[in-house]
Amino acid sequence: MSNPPAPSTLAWAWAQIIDTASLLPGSKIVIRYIKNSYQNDPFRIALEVFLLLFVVWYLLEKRYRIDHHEIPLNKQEVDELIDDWVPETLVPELTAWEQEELARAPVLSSGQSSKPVLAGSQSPVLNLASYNFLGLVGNEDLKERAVHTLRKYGVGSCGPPGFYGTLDVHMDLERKLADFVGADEAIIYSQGLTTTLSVIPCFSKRGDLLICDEGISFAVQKGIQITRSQVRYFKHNDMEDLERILREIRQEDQETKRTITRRFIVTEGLYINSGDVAPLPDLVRLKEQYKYRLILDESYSFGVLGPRGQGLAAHYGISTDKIDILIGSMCNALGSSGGFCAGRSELIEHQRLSGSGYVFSASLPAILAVYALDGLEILNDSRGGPIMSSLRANSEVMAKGLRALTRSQPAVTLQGANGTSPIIHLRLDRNWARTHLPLSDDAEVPQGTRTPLPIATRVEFEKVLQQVVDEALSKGILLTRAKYILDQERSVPDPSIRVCVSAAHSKKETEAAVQGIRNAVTKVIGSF
Amino acid sequence: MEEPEVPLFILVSTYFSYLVLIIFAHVRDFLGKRFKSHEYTYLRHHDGFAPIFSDFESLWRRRLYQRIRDCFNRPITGVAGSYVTLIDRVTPDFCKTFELTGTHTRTLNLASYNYLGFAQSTGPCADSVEQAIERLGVGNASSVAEMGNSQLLRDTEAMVARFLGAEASLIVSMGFATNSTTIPALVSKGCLLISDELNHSSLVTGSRLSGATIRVFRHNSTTHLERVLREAISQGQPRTHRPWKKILVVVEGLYSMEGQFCDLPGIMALKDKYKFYLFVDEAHSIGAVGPRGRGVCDFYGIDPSKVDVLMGTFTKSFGAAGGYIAGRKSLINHLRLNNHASVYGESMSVPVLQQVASSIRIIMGEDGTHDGQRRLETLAFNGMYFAKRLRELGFLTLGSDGSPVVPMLLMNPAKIPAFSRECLKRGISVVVVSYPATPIITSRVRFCLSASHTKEDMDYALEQIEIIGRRLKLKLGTPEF
Repeated sequence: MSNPPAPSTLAWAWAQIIDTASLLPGSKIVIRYIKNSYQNDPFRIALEVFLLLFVVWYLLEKRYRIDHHEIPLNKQEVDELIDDWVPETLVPELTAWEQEELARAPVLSSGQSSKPVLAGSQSPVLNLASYNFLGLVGNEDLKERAVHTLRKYGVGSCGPPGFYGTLDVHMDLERKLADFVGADEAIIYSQGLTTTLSVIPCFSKRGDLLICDEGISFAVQKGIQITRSQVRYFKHNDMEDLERILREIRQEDQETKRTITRRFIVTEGLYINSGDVAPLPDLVRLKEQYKYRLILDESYSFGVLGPRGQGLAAHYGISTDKIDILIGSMCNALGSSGGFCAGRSELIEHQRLSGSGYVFSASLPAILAVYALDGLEILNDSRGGPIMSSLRANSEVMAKGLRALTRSQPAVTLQGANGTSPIIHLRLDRNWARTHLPLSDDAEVPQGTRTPLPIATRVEFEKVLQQVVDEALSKGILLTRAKYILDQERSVPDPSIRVCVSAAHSKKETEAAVQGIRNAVTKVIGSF
Repeated sequence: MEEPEVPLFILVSTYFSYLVLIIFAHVRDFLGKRFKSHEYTYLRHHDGFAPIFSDFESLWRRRLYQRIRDCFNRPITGVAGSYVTLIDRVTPDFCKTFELTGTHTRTLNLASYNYLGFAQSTGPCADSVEQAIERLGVGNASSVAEMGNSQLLRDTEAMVARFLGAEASLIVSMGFATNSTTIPALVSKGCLLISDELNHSSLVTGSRLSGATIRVFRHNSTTHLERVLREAISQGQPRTHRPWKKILVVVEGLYSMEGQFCDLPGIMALKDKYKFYLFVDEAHSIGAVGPRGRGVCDFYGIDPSKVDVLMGTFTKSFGAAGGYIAGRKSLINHLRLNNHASVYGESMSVPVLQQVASSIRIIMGEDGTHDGQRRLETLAFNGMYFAKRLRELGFLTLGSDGSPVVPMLLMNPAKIPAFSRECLKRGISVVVVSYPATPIITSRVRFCLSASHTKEDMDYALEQIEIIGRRLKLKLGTPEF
């Protein structure tokens, strides 16, 4: 057996394997089967050997890794690198402006209402800063009911809705909300901001397509970000631009013949960042024509638009089922807390297991649910009419008064002063700022309004507006600048004072507020 | 924690049960789409629309969850205290819809996170809340950054900071949002976030929103955490190999599905060497754990100022809602301007805020009574006693000693609804959880103890669970298997 030719060694080895294997019971059948199947078929043998090798290689191969650029280092090198590494501080130091911002933030000493008292002062001020559009915040009847609810339900619910956190009042509220806006069903979440953030990712996933208005609020932006869907933006409230994009996509569809994924148009009913109202009839026409679903964030239009505050659909006299996914909030007009989503039953039921803010959070405290319920009842019965007409009248007074101001005062511009919206933004005119503001060298004002302001310039704008706020406060009018987290916003609007009209103010008070704002603006602008 | 040993037969039969369920689900979908197509329109492409949810994504919900939907979302009324009043409902169509019968059932509550028993509609907390509502109202309709800040909020924040032993704190109106909106204000692109694999959904949402690179380490394994850290710091950022800007390690104090404490001492031992920042989510542990109720730091005797970001919620032990972040003053100031919820979310409502303030005062003993201390001691006893008795009876429990949450393994999918329904028949409310909240194989029932439970309550529950356990063959820890 010394130095036998290779083939015979193989044959010998094979024979040995067969002999050993045949000792096992039942192996003869297997061996016969293998012998028969490999006869005269070299291609098959090659293929199966290859497959076998592949399996061995695959099993021995390291686990799948995303980073293929790993540099091999020994223990000492790793230790040195760890010693050398100096992390940044957990949070950056505050800038001078940020410190001022913190120090100047108003603090209430009384409860929130249409005429609250600030800490360090005695007299009430006229509140044009909070979203108390209907004056339900601070309502005495509702307070009494809240105490009643406390005595039955306590405060916290001590559980998520899935685990004994669903109260009878939650079910009532869901039913009443759905009926009020005219949808099949509704689901409530325990914070307004998180509602939008949870609802959008329930439906739009990776690979889906979202067509969004450029002017959407922060909550919608973040909701979109979590979905990881494809996003395209159209110019704010510009239906031609929207149609252009929809047409482009349809053309791409026809060229590539791809499978249609889920597609949504995402807008707000009443834009918090501009006070503009979305043109729902056009949106519905386009979404039906191009086969999209509509996600509408009515956080600010719910309770405000429509004859009884039912929202955007009622404002235009359109049936609510044209809006596939309607998101609303109870923390603004209703003066309670939390948010809701309304729509067809299967879409709502889906959220009860997929809406992260619903599944993984404690349910809304009963007091707040009942507060919202009572607010809805007010809107539904005879008390609702006067509230809504007062809100409309005050919104018109405010819009008219501020428009008169901008005619005489070119330093400021307005957005949302359409008479419908109770939210009006008062901004500094960029052209005026360029010539009048003592801007430092690194602060410049870009042409047009589409390029966002550099941070240094922004701060200068904010300072002027803060002077207006301070001046108005000294005359008993409470205003606030709209606050943003600059580096988290997609495209942040110019600094503004956001004036929010309330139905709780009389016409006289609103007129006084207009006058106060005019005087404050004139005085501050005059000093430049 | 040692993984309890589950008998092989149970493992195999559990997998087999799921296999059968899933095959049936697919067969029903397949046939349903062909023979009852009108009922399945929302799962199919129709009229140029893609289905609103894919059949595969929603399979679990439609075919498995729906069969046992009566065990979840059970409506209640009144206070979820040591006893809870369920609103009875019946289903005519296998849990597709429910009808309320109009009757109520009072049950022993082993389900709510009412650890210290502050879910109350009477007593000093409720009295102070009533006064606060009368004085200050309810809602705010504004964010903290704009017009939602109040003297009450400031005072409560100061009290929370004092309670925790931190320089300052910040209160957010929702527990989920406390995590999901704070993490993006701390880390961003170029930073690394290392997360325990079992972290809560709110932490995962926050991590995803932050834009930071995310790595995961094996649940509670400090050795794996160290390996991840060594590799991450030495290799730097993916592709560019630039050093990381900063590293944030995110863990929970008490994992509520596991009833297990995080290995805080082990993590603290790594902290100085690897220079990471530490975020501890004490949603379940604050108030409930530690001799003075100050959470896991108190439990392990670790100085809370060594933890960079202390987070917790008021939903559980305090009988309120919302959450807090506490830490150094510089951190809190930064968050006041950069935390999404502070700038864009509504601020915390008056009743909730007052409930937080009053309950903390009681826990700290500042109300001049020993009520708080008594609650803490009762809870600690209850947790220990219940878990010990369950083990003695032969059940397999998970979790650390001293945890107020005691999970017990059920395993087979059919036993999930069976256990829940049997308990309900005997007047006990329990929470059963399965995939996706737990690994598919280890479905469990989660008992939440409370300081408001008496020993008689627990003995009654244990006696009934023993009977149910025998009938459902749940005593996985006995030689029977």
